[in-house]
Amino acid sequence: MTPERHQQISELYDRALEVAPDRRSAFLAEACAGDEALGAEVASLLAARAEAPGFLSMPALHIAAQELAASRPSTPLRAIGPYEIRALLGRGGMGEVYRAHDTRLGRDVALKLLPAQLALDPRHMARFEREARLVASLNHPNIAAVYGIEEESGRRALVLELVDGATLAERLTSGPVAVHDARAIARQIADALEAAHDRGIVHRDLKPGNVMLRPDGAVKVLDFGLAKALDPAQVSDPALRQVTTRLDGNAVMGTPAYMSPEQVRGMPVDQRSDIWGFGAVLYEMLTGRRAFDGETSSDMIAALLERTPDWSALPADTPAAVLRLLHRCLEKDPKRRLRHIADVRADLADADGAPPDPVTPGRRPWRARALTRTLASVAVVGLIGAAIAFNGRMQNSARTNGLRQYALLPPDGAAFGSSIVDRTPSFAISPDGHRLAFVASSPSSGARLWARPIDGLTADPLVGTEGAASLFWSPDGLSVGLFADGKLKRVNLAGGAPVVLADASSGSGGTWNRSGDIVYAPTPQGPLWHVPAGGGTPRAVTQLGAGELGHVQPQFLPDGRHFLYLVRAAEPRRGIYVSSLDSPEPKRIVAGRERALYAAPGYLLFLREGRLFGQPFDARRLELSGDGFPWSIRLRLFQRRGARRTLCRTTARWSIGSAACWPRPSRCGSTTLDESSASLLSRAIIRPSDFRRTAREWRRNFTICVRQPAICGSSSSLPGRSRDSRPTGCTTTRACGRPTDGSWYLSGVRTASATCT
Amino acid sequence: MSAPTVTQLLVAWGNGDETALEQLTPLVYQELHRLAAAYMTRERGGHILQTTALVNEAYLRLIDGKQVQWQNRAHFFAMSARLMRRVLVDVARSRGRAKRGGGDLQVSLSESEAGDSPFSKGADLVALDDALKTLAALNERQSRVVELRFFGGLTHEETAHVLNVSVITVRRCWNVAQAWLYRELNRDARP
Repeated sequence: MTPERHQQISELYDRALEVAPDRRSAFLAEACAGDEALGAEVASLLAARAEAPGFLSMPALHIAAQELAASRPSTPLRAIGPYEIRALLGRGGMGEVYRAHDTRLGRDVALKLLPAQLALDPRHMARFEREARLVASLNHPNIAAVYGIEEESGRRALVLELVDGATLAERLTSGPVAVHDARAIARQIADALEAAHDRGIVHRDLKPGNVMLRPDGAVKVLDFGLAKALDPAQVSDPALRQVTTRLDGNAVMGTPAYMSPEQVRGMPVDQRSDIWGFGAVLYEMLTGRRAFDGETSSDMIAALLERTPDWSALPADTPAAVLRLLHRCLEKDPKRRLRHIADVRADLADADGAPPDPVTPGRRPWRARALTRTLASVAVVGLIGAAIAFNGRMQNSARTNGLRQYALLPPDGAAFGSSIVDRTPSFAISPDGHRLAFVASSPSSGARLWARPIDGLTADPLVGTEGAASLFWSPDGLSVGLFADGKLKRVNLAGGAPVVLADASSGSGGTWNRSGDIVYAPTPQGPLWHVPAGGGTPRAVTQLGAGELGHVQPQFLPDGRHFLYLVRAAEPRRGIYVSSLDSPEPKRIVAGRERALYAAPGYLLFLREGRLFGQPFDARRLELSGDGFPWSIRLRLFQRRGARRTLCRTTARWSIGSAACWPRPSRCGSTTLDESSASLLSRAIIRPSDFRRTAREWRRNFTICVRQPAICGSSSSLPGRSRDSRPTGCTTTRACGRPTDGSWYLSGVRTASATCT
Repeated sequence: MSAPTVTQLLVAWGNGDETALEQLTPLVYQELHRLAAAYMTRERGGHILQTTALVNEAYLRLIDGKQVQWQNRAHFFAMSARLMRRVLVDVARSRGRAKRGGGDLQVSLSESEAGDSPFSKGADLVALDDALKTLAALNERQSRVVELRFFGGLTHEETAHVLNVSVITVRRCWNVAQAWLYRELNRDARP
């Protein structure tokens, strides 16, 4: 074979791929008349392609690692160091807990095993070791002891005191605890907290599930996993300290029902947060129900920010001192809350006394009110689309507060992305929220733009959009701007051939305002350009500053004159900037190396430390205000079953929350991502190139149910049900808002993993 | 391991400093073993996402193009891909020799959890390396696209940038090379 012959084969193979599969033999026969060997070569390549569509789809590093892993003996975990594993006690966010036997000392211990993927993550590793060091420094009869850290063949485990008995959470399933006993338990919890607080350690996750009741009446507080030394010297920059605090735990971890208001808001947390948790636990012991409850995490969050506990639920024999104590612990403003846990001792020891003080709700912190108002407005703004089917029942918009969830499946024979190997999902929702357009490609017809009603199940290809790579909507929702074949084009959804507007060799984002201006990035290496949507001469609207590599991903702000964009450059120049069509004076809004988005009613969504943040943004003054707060990412997978494409309508068998609910073969599945995956995905949201590899593997059997974001909207909850209608005990939170440019987001409110029994 | 170190070493290697390769190899080994350890210990089922996330992270840790001046990125990525190819093929070769006295292990070249999936077609990295050399003689560019994408973990766009060609050209090269290599490897693999 000569290079020339190979070239000939390659070219013909290219052309053959553009022909529908059933017409390829005819095409080859015609194209290779007189040179049957050529036809045979191309046909054998086509056969190879059909035989192995995923060939080389995972990079070499994966192949090599897989091979390495396969060559090692894979025995189930039997022992780590001298600890023989006896039984699995439970699973949690920070790993699995086993009952194990210490063969050297001849005693049973609890082994908390860090998940392997976390063991490889230095940040998690640091947290894990910090947990060990901190708790090991606490020597107190009411705190479960840490014996050490064990590591073997890449697995790390924390060796803990094994506490026999039941958790307080288990005890509470059979009703409230008698006042006398509740006080005894509370005293011991307070003693544990006092010992920890004295050393500057905050538990941060105090809840009934972390309190063990031994048969002999002793109480042990478990799991100082979220504890964090209160050492301001560690992080001296207050702004950074806040971020660190958020990133370090409360973003995805913690149980909202017992979180303090300041913790929920991502503000710095000190021992007063534990005092709140202590109050919540005491309240629950006395009443048998949570102080702040809701069907979903966001309901809980709303409750604890807004409402006072139902004091009337307390038993009649609650001593006045205990009632006063509860009021002081569950004070929403930390400044007004009980300051030292040691102060509870007197109240708990107190015998019955005077009648309780009149209930004074106190001035609600303004932040709580402001946040709630914001949430309400987001929920209203976020009303979109039509009702969805869920659990086989139609939920109307009143019942679901306008929250929507849609299944998105690739069209038959096609897959998302602009080619068989480039699976970068490119979706956009029309500005009115009614339509969805996306790029999908099939071997027979290549990449095309497809559109469908957002609540529909089938999409139609748009004529003339071959070669489409990415897209953006016109503000009237009647047209779409797209990058295809090195050009910026405009196509009317009602029909008609696309109109070429400008050259764009490697289009990197566009935006379209109500006056018919399009601002776009023809390449990632230059300034942004403007072209009238009706056609005209393109002109540059930004200018690369010194050291700037390119301006990309523009988005018009609501005034239609200013636009956000990303400046690609080295630090400190790179970041999110805003400029205007009228006066090109770029202003830097925030640092960042990824795209940011403006979302109604006034938020900027951007990445910080690999996480998605929302922060109030004044689009008129072009300034960020207030605090940023993290969004956690929740993702759902729906398995495609045969030819059925109605999965969101037949999701009776999916569930959400824990690893146990991961999709199994032939099951619909859904999951809340662990923190590391979530942070990867939040990057993926804004930079689809990362998402490509993640999404690729799902394209055949799974569809990604993508939801639109809300800051922290209302939510609804329905029990998951198995096929035979048994409740599976799962709850879900759905919350959707609508970013103004209609980009799809994987999103969710901050939430702890839902229970899934 | 810090990214700048890898970066500097890659640059040094690219400038002809062969000792830099000796320092780079253990870094790749390290990532490889971390990844393998993760594969071994994770639970069965439901880990497609984690796998891809782990692989992505491993590449990012090794090859963080953001650390590099834009002008050098093309060269940097090219060197990274060459490095990965060299080390990973060497690993496969030595393991194959050690375990089978010369034969190479069959490994799956695609990620698939389902046994009945058409993805689970086997081949091995050593044979792939040889086939790539054959392909390079026929079409240098197609072979480089595979090196950059498959070994270097680059996207189409990044590959296009490195080769200074259009993305469409990269896709075409990739399509042909993918089918051609698959055919070539399965030809060899059959007794």
